[in-house]
Amino acid sequence: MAEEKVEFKEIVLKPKYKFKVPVESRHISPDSFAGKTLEEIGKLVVYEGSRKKVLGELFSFEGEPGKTAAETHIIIEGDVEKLRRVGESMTGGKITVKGSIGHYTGFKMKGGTIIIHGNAGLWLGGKMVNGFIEVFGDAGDCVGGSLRGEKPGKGMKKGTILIHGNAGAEVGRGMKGGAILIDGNVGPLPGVDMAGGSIGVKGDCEGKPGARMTGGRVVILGKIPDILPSFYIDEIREPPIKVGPERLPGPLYVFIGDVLADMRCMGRVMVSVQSNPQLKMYEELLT
Amino acid sequence: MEYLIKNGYVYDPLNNVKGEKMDIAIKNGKIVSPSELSGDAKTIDASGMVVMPGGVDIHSHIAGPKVSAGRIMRPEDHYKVYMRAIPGVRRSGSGKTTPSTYVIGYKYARMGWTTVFEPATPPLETRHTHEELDDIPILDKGCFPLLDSNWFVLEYLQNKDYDRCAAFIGWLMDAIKGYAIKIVDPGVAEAWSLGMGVGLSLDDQIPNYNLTPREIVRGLCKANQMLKLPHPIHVHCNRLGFPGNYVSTLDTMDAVSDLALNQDTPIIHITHVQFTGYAGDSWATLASGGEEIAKYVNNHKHVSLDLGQIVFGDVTTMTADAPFEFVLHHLAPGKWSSTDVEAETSSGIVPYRYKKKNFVNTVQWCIGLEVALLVKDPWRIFPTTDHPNAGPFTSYPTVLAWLMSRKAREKVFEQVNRRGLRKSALQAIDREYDLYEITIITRAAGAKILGLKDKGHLGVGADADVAIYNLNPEKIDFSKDWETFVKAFKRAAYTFKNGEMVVKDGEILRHMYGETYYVKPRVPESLLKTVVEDVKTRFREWYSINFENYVIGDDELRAVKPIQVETTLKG
Ligand SMILES: [Zn+2]
Repeated sequence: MAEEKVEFKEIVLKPKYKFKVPVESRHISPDSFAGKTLEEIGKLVVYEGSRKKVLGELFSFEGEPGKTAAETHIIIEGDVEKLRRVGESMTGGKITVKGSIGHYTGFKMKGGTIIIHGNAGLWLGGKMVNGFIEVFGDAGDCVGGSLRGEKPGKGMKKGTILIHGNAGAEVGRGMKGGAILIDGNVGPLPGVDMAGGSIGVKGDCEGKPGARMTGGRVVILGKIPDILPSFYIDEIREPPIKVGPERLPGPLYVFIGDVLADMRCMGRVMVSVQSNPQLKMYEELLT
Repeated sequence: MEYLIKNGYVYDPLNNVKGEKMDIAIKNGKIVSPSELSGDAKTIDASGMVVMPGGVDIHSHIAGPKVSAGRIMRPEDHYKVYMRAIPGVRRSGSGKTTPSTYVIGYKYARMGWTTVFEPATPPLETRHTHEELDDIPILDKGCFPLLDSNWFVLEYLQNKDYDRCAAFIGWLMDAIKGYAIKIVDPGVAEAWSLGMGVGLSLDDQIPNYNLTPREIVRGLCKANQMLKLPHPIHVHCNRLGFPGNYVSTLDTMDAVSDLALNQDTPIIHITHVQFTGYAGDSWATLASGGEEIAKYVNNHKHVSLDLGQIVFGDVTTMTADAPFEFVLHHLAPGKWSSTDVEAETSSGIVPYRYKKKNFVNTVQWCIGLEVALLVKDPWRIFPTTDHPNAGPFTSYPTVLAWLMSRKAREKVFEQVNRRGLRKSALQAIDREYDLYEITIITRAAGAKILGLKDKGHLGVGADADVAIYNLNPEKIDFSKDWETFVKAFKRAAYTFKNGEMVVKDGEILRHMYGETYYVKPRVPESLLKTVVEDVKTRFREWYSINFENYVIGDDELRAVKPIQVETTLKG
């Protein structure tokens, strides 16, 4: 990521107590904070469980927001695993979480940056339109994913998500574009319903990569139990392949599919040759 | 609670009241003469407003296994449209094309509708249907069991044993608390259970039985007449959704014409006629067969129709016509569900989206309106959207506006597919329904064709189901100002159900429950005994449940309203 030359104004949020029930607010975003006084920000609506409250009841504030979203840097201090929908639909600026955060962080975000120093919940960057998310801990299921029931290709459109820990199931569910790179392991079904974009996993995968994919690529450098029977081996690729900011090294088995979703097999699942000796039988099919 | 609704413009077609300024009095859940009210009656000032009976919908898929499966299949339908709970007033719910039970009741009531019938329930799964109906607040309701592929029915019809067929249906209606005979693509479910039946025609052979769909329709029509059920056979025609199917529709209507013995009341109801009103021989050459259908209906009093009017946008198609859903799934790839209900029927579900610029969808949109505008008798045409197949029931105000205003139609003409628009006579039709005719098609005629004597009118003794809309018929020219009409009909000023005020200013006031109607035909003892013995002996081989678990008791439903029917059956 090229650093943008922006003078950020910082505003620090500290939870007043440990949240016991889900706390939901789509207002914790540079777009909502920009140009407001601390008093006005304290009056923004938040739901604690089913109760309607204002931000001021749950958080204390320091600093001040910028005039525009792009100049605003929100810092959340402490663990807020119960806090959801932070940075929803944000168009610019920055959010830094110095701890862990809950579900739907960066949901539908259109631009800007979110940095999480702890773990993230489910649907991190779900249906993201653009922007950058970096997580130093683990992420939950459906990173960059579409919602349940939605058609294939309704997930993440553009942008980058980097996860330095592990991620859960269905990474990049319904993804259409952009890149997700995971340093650790992932659960089952990365790239399910995927129509475009790329997913890179440096660790292991629990299985079924690319189920129902019609486009895009899933690259796995670690071990996988098996390849779905609706994929065909296409080649062994030697040169490295680019996923987001990095180039993942070959050699890789390249599988095309999922034939059950699209006869044209436009999707690619690439799996490390070294980590997966159990897939050697596919090489016979390449002659 | 007693109410006096003062000074409204009253529309009550069954009593020939055509927008006259009158007072309507409510006491103990019934309409009474104003002189019977005590001093405690609350007065509602309805001056400048329209007062009508509560709406009656004869065809809307609001409950049952397929509705529930539709909800499960479409979580995305529930993200954006939801209703919050208001403690002590109403409960919460969500969904647009497959709304949850509470939302169905509230949204109908908000529009001023108070009676709705679920038109397709597999007998075996009707306990589920009733449980869902029981959960729907405010409305009175009922359901039509699917009988065209029921093995008992098919066997009796094959043996030409119409007495026993009628007696069986009479027993079944009582046993599972059904209201009318539903026929869906007659015989097709039986064929579908063998993987056949796509595009089955009226005179094709049905596998396993020496029968054709024509014989099923005629047989069930005869049985219906013997039982004297209040509603005619409710028929979804063969070849639904296939280009050229308007011919099948004409044939189906004509197949029973000789059974109509100089009676003026319909003996066959053709449902969602838009889906079976297609001319042309492929999707590319699709055209409207609406003119021919309307011409037939204008010349034959034994037929009534409902529209299945397309509303552009998202829908969830769901029908017992499983082979049609199989075809649709290939036209609109994505989710699809298909079910076979043992010994009885089948069903399928496919989410779909009607697009304005789409040629086929435009032709479909034209057909419904064309038929509605060309059929002269408003007592035999019903403005349904076959919810949720052609559009959600919440679009009724818009559909009615299209009927009332050429201008409203012209606005859509500008947005739709040009070529599709030319495939029907719709553009040349100037007819506009007036408010009196709208009252007929949305309430009076519905109550009449369902045989509900206390519904659909505001005469003394009627159920106090009343809708009041903030519309001044003396000031508003609906032809020009149709948007005001839509606004008023979307949110009634007041809705009364059983004499209780349930809606005020378009908002729900309370959560209460209506009743479930079912028919109880009086089948002679000896005949009943033979038929039940017949069913019991074969139940063990044909069904996966016990006979005792098939029958639904009155006590299993929240509130029942049995309609006793004197049949012509002899013992
Ligand atoms: Zn229907």
